[in-house]
Amino acid sequence: MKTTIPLIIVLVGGIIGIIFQFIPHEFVQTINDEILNYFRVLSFFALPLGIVSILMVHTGKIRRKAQHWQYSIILILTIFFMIVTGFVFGTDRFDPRLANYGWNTIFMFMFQQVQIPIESTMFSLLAFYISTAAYRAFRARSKEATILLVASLIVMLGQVSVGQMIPIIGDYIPVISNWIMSNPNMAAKRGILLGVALGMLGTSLKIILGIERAYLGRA
Amino acid sequence: MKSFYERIMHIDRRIIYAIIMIVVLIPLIWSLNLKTYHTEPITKIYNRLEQNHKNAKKNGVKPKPVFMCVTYGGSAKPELHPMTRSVLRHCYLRGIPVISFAFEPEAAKIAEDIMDEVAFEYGAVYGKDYACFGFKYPPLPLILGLGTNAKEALKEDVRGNKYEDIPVMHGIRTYDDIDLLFDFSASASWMTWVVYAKSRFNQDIAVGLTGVMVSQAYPYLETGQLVGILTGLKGAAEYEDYLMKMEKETEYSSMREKNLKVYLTLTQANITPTSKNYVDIAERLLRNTPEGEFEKKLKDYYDIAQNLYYKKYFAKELSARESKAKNDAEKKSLLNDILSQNQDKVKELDYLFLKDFKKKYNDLLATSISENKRAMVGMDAQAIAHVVIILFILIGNIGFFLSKWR
Repeated sequence: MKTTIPLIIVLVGGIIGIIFQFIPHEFVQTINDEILNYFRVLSFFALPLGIVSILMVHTGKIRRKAQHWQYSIILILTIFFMIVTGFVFGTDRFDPRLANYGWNTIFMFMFQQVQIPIESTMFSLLAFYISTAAYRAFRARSKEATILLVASLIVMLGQVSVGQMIPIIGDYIPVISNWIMSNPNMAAKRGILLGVALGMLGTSLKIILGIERAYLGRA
Repeated sequence: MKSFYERIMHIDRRIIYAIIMIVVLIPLIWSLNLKTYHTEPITKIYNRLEQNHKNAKKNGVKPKPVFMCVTYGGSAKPELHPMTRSVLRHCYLRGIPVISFAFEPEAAKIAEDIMDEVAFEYGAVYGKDYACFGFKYPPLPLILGLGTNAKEALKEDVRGNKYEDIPVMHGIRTYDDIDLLFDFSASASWMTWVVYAKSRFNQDIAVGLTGVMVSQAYPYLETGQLVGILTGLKGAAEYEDYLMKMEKETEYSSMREKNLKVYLTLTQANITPTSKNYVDIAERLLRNTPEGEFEKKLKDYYDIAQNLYYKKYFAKELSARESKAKNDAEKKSLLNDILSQNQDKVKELDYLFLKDFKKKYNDLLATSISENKRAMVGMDAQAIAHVVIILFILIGNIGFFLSKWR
């Protein structure tokens, strides 16, 4: 029973989901809209679930004094700090260009002046990793590697204005770069996309027909 | 001891990091003003919005609105924010209504911020020229809902106004009533728009993506499923270049000065920029006040701001006298009494207030000008970084061939 009911729900839900895509009748679409509303309500429960889950993981780390447990304290404190400041002082926005108008809030200050710069900084590190990775990986060890190397150099030059400033060949670099992006790159991407789409189709059918049951908590 | 070719094949990564950091910093400090070249994916988007404006002008109607889905957080903000700003500038300049929403709570705040910030500079009025619907989740019901009943899908904006009460939303029932849909994304959300909004409702879509994601979108551009792609910082720089030319042609700079004056005066007068009161006053000043009366009308709000400044300075004296005042009429005249008794101080305060006002105004103007070419400056740094990375790759390969030759 524990297995049968979820399987029936998935089978019926999956089939309805597919059929409703092909029936534009108003009655069917009204039911579809209602189902989408349920979807919205259900997705809300992901938020408390996420908070509870993260608290359980990190309180566990603190109790066990696991490696870097101190960071877990900061994480938990920060979560509650943001929740409390958001609820108590509101989330009105603060214009960093013009302070002192009485409509700034701690929540938005933390968001604009702490969270966003931290995230941007983390992402900017990617440029440094890419630089060293490109230096180490792009070696003309074989014919294929040489083609990849030449293509990457052209695309890199084509992406910035410096490429066009090279005498004689400068005008051709963006053209070749664009050709690489919209032909060989696109052909490869299409192949991957088709493969992914077919894979998704197969997996969806397996889930709907009850062949794939990993979501039930067992393989 | 390591040979020369071994050394150039294995340069310490810390040296590479240091060199990259230096070459990225230099153009950010001293602008190189490298030329910006235009590419097709960006030009298509620009032309599409221009066409919308031209069609509306020809038919004597308001341009069709655009939807803007903002789905990026702080991590992708440096790359995607300049392009969002550019598209907003274009829309506000051409009077194209913009309606935004976001699939992430973080992105919703970013969208509100940028829409308001650009609106204050470009004289766009909330509710009439743009609206923000904030965080909408999950994406699928919204994407499908916009195809059947936009009012039901969006319901209420971030300021608590009902869909039907927002003038800019009047006449928007489904995708059929909008021109273009933008998705500024650091995730795969744009694919969901293509799968559902394009294939099911034939909605035209343009995307703004981070540089590393761009190659994934090319197949969709070629098939016409995407109108255009704003390709990372480079795409944003190209768009900024288009807009700079357009602003020169339309002599926009004097309009911006007027808009910023209104914004600053009202905020100094403690009129919260996101309030209904601000919207009404800004609209009256910018749209319904004859040119000759503008300065006079604005002066009224400047006086309010100045009075607040006096009140702040004489706060202690004012509260002491207020406690002794017998009635409301007496209370009201207290500030005037204090000011007439301290005329020398008032002159000094007037000077300080004006000085502070001018400083803030100049800061706003300078920020606006620098923000409008942020991607172009960023591209200078990126161009030099690309050249340095290419040099490192070549050095590594020279070492590799030398080692093979030996």
